[in-house]
Amino acid sequence: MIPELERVVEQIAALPGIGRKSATRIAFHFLKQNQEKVEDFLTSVTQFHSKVEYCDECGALKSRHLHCSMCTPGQRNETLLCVVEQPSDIFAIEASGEYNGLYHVLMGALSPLDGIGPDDLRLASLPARVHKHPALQEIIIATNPSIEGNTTANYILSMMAEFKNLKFSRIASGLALGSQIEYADARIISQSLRARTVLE
Amino acid sequence: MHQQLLKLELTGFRTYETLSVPLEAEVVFFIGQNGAGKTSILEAIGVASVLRSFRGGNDRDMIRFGNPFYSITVDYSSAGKNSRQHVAFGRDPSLTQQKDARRMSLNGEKINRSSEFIGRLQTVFFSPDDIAIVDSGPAERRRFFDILLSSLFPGYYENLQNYQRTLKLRSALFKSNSKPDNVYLSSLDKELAKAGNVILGRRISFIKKFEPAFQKYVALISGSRDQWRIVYRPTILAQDERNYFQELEKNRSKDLRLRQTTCGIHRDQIAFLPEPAGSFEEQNPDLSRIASQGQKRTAALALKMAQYELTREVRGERPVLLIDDVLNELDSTRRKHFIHFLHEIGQALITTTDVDSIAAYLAERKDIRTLIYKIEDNHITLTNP
Ligand SMILES: Nc1ncnc2c1ncn2[C@@H]1O[C@H](COP(=O)(O)OP(=O)(O)OP(=O)(O)O)[C@@H](O)[C@H]1O
Ligand SMILES: [Mg+2]
Ligand SMILES: [Zn+2]
Repeated sequence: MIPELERVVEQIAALPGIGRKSATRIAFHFLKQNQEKVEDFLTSVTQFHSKVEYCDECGALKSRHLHCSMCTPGQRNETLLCVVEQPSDIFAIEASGEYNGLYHVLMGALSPLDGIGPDDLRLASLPARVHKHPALQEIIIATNPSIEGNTTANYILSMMAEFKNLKFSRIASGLALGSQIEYADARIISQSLRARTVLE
Repeated sequence: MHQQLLKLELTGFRTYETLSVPLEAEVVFFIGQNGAGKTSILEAIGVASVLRSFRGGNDRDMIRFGNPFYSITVDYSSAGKNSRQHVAFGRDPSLTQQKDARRMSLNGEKINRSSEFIGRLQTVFFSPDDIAIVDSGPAERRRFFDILLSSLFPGYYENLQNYQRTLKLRSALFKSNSKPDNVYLSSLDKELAKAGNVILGRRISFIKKFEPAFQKYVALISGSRDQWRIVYRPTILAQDERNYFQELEKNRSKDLRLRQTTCGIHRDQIAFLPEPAGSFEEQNPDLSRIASQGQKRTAALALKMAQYELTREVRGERPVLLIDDVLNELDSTRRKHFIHFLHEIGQALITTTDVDSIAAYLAERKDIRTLIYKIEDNHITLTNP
């Protein structure tokens, strides 16, 4: 392989879910396109990277110069708050059309194997968010149906014990254990939201 | 009613490049020299049943040297319906993916979860190595019951997997952090209690039902000379999940000090004790410490016969028996009782090195359909008289 090709294949193959074989195909695809198209592609990636950030409030992805659409007052059902592991989970849940409440992104789950503890997640800001939304009635914990996701749900339940007036619920495990919300299809997500169980 | 194997097809499994054997008979014999490939055939059927090797080998070891994967396809009938079960392990050359993976299907439909695969085809494997179940440590005994319970009760396997995973997370937490956050540990322990409580309850109630069947067969084979009780000794005794969790909490300081999970279903013991019980602890030594070689063999055989009986009871169908070299190993009295037992069963696959050991049996069973295969140089030939 010539060094220029080698370098681009290596870069593409470093992306999640892409092996060397697909990376080579993508590299040759770029080669066949005209200069302008390739530059368009690269600009959109750079712009995405520089103009997008996570909302300080809820953790969702937002445009740098705009307000977070998930936190805009009056836009969402403020009686519900859904806790998810990743910003990408929000897209999956929104696509189900089943939910119009607030979100709180943890940026992960408790995972001893990866050395992720409570301080590494956006857990500490959760009580403050509850105080900020007096209309809040229910917190739906939508962490992944894995041991790590369940453990995180248990942790939230314990740390939020002082909020006696809030209902806590967990999405139903219509999702197979170990599967990820991010990749589940909309129908399954809306089913597991509707069949959520109240936690004691 | 009984389950009946109809056909086995192998690719790249152990010594077999490819193999296709019709199995439509009540008794199927495989006769061959040592190393010919007899056990491998039974092993493959076992993998199609519980996704594990009876020999305890790992999946990699079962792939024929030089092959990218193994594949096992079993046709069988159950409850009057024909099914085809398929399992493959290794690299799929048609895909770019380079990692070993398992692929399963049922009647051509892909299955993603092991728990949906295990327990459809029910088999009972008899081997001279069964003696290890009664003769080695508690892990072997737990393993025997865990595999059996996984194939009998939907959900057991999943709980076992969850338990093992949680245990692994718990020990990672101990390793990474000498003083883990108590709430974090409790959150993990709730998951441990959830799975542990289900497993504990199942084991205890099942062993209660299993014990009389086991005792019946021990009495039968030993001419009522041997008598053993099966006693489940939990390290955590709990009525429910909450209770199980509380017990974990009680052990927490000890666990933290030793940096391991000292109590729970992974540490429980299953004891075989003499009956009637002596009044002192020291008068109740485990079978492994006091039984003779012959008594151990009897107990091992009775365990498998009881497995057969309980499987039939729970599933309402007689499982397939896979009998590896057992006939040669038994003395004449035990062999007589065992052969008698074989009269009542549905289908059996039996391996042996010499025809002589089965001559008496064949003479007795003129009433049923038998197939006799000879295995030589990776070739299998039907040699029915
Ligand atoms: N992964 C593998 N690839 C190729 N050959 C293998 C593999 N694993 C085992 N073998 C070989 O397969 C052969 C068959 O083994 P198997 O245990 O089935 O024989 P057997 O007929 O049961 O012998 P015995 O009478 O001694 O019990 C052995 O010679 C063994 O070395
Ligand atoms: Mg053998
Ligand atoms: Zn926001």
